[in-house]
Amino acid sequence: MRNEVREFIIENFLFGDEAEMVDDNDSLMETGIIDSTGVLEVIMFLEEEYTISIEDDELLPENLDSVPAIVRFVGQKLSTPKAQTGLLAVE
Amino acid sequence: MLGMIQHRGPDASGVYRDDQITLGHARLSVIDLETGDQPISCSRARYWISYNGEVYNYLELRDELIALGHTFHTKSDTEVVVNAFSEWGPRCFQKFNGQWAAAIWDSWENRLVLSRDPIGICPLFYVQNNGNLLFASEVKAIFANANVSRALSKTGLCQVFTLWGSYAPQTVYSEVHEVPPGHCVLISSDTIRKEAYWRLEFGVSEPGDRRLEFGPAMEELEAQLTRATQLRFTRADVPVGAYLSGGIDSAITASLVKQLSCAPVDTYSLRFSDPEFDEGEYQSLVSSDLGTTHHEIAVSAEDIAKTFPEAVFHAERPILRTAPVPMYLLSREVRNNDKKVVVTGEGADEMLGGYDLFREAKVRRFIARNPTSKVRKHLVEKLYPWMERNPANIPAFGQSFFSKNIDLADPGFSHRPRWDTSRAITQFLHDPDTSPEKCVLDDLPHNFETWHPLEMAQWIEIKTLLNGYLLSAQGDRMLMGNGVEGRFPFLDINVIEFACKMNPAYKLWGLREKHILKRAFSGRIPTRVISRPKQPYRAPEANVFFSPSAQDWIDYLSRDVLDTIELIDSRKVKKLFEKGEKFSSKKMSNTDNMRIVAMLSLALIQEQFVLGRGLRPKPVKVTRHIDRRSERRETKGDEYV
Repeated sequence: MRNEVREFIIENFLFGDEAEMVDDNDSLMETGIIDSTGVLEVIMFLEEEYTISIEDDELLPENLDSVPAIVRFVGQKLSTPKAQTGLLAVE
Repeated sequence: MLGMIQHRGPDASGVYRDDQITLGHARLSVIDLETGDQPISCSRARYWISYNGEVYNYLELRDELIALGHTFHTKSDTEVVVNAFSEWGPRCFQKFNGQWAAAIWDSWENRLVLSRDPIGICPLFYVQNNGNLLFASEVKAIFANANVSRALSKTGLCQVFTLWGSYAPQTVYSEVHEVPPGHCVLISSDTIRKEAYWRLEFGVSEPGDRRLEFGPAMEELEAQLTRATQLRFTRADVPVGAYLSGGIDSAITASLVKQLSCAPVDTYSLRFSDPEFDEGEYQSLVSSDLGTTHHEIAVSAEDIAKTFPEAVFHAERPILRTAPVPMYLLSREVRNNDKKVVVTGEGADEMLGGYDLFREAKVRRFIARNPTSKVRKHLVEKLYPWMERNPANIPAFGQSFFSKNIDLADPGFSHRPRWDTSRAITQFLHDPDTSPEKCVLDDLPHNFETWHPLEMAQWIEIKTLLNGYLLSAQGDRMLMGNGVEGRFPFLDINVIEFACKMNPAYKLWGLREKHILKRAFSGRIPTRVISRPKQPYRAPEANVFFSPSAQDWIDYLSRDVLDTIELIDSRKVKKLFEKGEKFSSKKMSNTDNMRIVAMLSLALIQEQFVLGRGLRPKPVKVTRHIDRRSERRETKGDEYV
């Protein structure tokens, strides 16, 4: 998953220029790779790619502002049974 | 050269020649239709002038000059300008209230002066080339000379892609210089020297110089604006119309025009089918209230996509938004309506604290004083209510974004979020400049840090966005592209100097923008217009390009032009366009919108100017030709051409 997320960031925000992604641990906003509205594209990608639903109260920099944070966050979502996220109720 | 700028002056063309210089002029006849042709000289034929613009206080200056012994043969403001220069030299520019770009030639001493108005309404460029100097209102006229390099400047591009405009004298072309606003350039056979005759300064400068209380300040503002509009409405020998955006500024200028006019007033507005951008409801409200003859044009996404190349040709620089394009279509409507002068509300936001950026800076300063406060960060949610993709939609990220760069000692504090966001565009350049904003920070007045924070933000806004984008790419160029002159009461020199000395709290009262202006005109324009939340003028963005109407020219640019731009990584730009295509039916991020518009306009600049495919001069019929090359003779008509 780490590589998939990383590749999405590089293709979608750095237009293929891997060299601009200096350190995976860097904050995506601090380094200017995404802006405050660009994060919507990250959310859309994660929801479509991993079939998860991200709730409003999960839209936090600690979940989405770096590659490791995203991987950790999505990993947690995937390992949590769907019934507990409320997704079944929506479906 | 004149053939490249016929759109600016389609009414007449004139040429002056002597053994040292050729002055050309393309005339838009507005004052003194009968005898105002140029170039003309002062009463002793020493100084010759080619001039674009208006000096609105020319009648008062004319009387002053007559009292000093000058004689006049025309009724034009041009003749006043050249006589004023003969009397006072470059100090004369301090006496002018207006908008101009002037070239004045001293035929006795072989010296040239280029001068531009204080705030930079009229453009003026020059190039030194093989011992010659070429100058013109637009760069394309200079590029008519095939010996001039048309190469792009990385420094200029990085400035545009960060500040929204290049910072004069820098331009996006490496050999071309722009006369900075409020400056003259003094040129002799061996020297070129820039000299400021006016500086933008805020704050109370003299000891004991007190700011007015709110009531008197409000009355003074109303009086100054009335006088400024009167000068701009009455000093024209052609009918003057007015733009109506739906906002308070143009409602005020239109209402003042209506008050001054005995005849019906024509007003002009833009409409958009997308309700996110359309302000028709408020435009109709104002036009009905004022009883104007109202004209509106509906601009579609297809219109923007189709007209974009033409608008970029007139802008002559990359742009980051499509918003200039509808302005170009609006001035075409004015011209098709047989009008060539319009009064607009431009400048009010800069002079009187109207922009969201000023509110944003105030909120960020508040956060910076206590960065750990969670309550303070919620104020961010009050910013940008009009924006569909409002950063505050994701509060934690919006707060995080606006809480960055909160070093209160940073003189560029107010503009860091904008500069950081826009700078993302420089990622397409090879080895971009890391601090394009340095040119601004190096130019700050010596006492800048003693000013109020709002005044600091205003100064930077005026010197960057107003000069480099709003008055140029979105202003003069989109008006003059159709031979229409814009007149701006809020940029009257007396209004500017008054606003600069005004108590900043009267402008931004809490987070209420242009407070004093709203109070001053509250009984004069509809309450709903006064009380509506600020909505900046915007147009449909990059999605418009990914439609059949733009496909041909985007494919052509991708295929034949992008790879010729040495300064950029064209592979990355092509990926950007692919992303744009993929997102064409969705809302793009603000940054991607800017990236796409910037790269498309850059490719058009490359095609039209650098590769020279747009440099096709129109035929010119010279109606006034003064030839002093060997014997001194003067004639009208084209017998010497």
